[in-house]
Amino acid sequence: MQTLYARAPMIAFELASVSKLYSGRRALDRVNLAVPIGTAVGLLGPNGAGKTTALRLLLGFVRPSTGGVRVRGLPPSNPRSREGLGYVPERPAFAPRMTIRELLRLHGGLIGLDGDALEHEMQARLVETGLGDRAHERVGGLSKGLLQRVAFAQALLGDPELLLLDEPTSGLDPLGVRDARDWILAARQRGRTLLVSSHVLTEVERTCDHVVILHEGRIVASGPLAEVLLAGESLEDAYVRIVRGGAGASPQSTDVSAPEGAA
Amino acid sequence: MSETAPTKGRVRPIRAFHLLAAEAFQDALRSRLGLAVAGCALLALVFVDRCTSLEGSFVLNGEAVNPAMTLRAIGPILFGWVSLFLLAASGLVASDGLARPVADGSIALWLARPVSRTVYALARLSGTLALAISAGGGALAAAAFLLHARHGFALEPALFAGLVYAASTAIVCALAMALSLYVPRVVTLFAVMLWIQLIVVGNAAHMLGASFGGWFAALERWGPPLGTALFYAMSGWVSLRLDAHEVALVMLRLAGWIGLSAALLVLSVRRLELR
Repeated sequence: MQTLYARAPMIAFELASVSKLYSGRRALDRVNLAVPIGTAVGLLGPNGAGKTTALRLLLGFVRPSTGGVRVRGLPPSNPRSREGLGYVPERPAFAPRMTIRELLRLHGGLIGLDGDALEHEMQARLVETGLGDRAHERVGGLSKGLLQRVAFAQALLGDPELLLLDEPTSGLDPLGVRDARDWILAARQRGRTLLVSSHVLTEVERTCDHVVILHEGRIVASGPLAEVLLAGESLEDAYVRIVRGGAGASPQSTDVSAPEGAA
Repeated sequence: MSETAPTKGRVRPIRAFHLLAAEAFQDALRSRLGLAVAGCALLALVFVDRCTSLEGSFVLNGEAVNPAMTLRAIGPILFGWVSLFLLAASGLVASDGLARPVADGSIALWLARPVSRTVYALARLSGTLALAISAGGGALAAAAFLLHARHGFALEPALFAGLVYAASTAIVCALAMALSLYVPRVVTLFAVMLWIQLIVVGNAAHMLGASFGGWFAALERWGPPLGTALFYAMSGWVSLRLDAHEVALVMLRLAGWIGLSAALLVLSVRRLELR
């Protein structure tokens, strides 16, 4: 098992020798990854590398073909593994006839908030995500950028301990991108565990302290940013170097940046 | 973000179920298919109103026939037909109740919460059922009242028939929702309608003493007794003496199918992969 810290006291989630096949096509191939609590991990890779599949495995949306998945020590089939978890999907989809406020109220209820605490939390997230004036609008009529803001608002409800973000800045305008970055950085500063799947390498560089690079379903690099990057190298340069050099890498060669003594 | 995290409690499955079932009901109510079901209920009611308000007399084969007397004979058939029509209409809303959140992806954010798939499936079923039964049940209650007020039909058989309708709706909705996860919605809808017709025709043929074999006999013998149970429920209107043991077996089979169809739905949702 590859951990991102040498001696991780508590693991937020882990994939243990996980493979996932879709109709014979291998989306993930014997992936080993354990992420300690409080780590902000950027999940990078070309299209079809398996990033979204990894997130869906953690959420229990799909089952591994082989291997095991644990979130907060529990299998994703156990609903309790999703207590204290916030998720922003790549293409947020909501029941279109609900208003933003109805949607947040229901999501708040599903994480155990009610009464004044729910109203207070809902209002705080609406204001934070710039949706305060639109709370009574139906979700079905919102633009892609606003939908992304709604996705953040529901994901941040209750200040979750683990945030899974799939292309979180997708569809956002430059101001929205900056806002999203601020929300992610604020969560990181509060010590939350983050897994950010993104193609926007500059955003990952700004918001994450660790990276995992997937290529053709395998981890080809992982570890703290400082260790993955060569001296003077940008994340983009490192990404190109690793992905171009990592094609066909064996699982054993993925431990390119694990710190000495990694479990 | 507030400096102190709000107080969160563990979400009990029953609370998650209530929240999601209410959402499913509102979702169905606001959808076009929900309106279509309400329209079907209204149409059925207008039909019953017209049929029960016949007056005067007409001549058939040279004999004067009193429509009111004729209606006493066909009243149960009318009520039964309306029940089955509304049952098929419930398949309409059920074919969409689970398939739509899966197709548009909105299911993902609900299942990203600490909610089990079993709770989600049963909540969607309950929300859809609440709409189908309230629309259909309302129409049937009004039809029973019209038959009672205009032609003196007793209300008790209508009450039993209403309960059988509710049970049958639960079976049809659960099976339609499960099927809709595997085939397109329009196929689900037509399959449900065909299936209801086959079962009811089989039940009617069996009660009339016809004998048949093969899969049709198996469907009639072991499938949900939608037609038979409805007929037995309305037997008070036709002064028919029924074997209590046979009635109990049919009602037990109906109840068993409620459990089986709900279990099939839950199993289908639990096996579903959200890619």
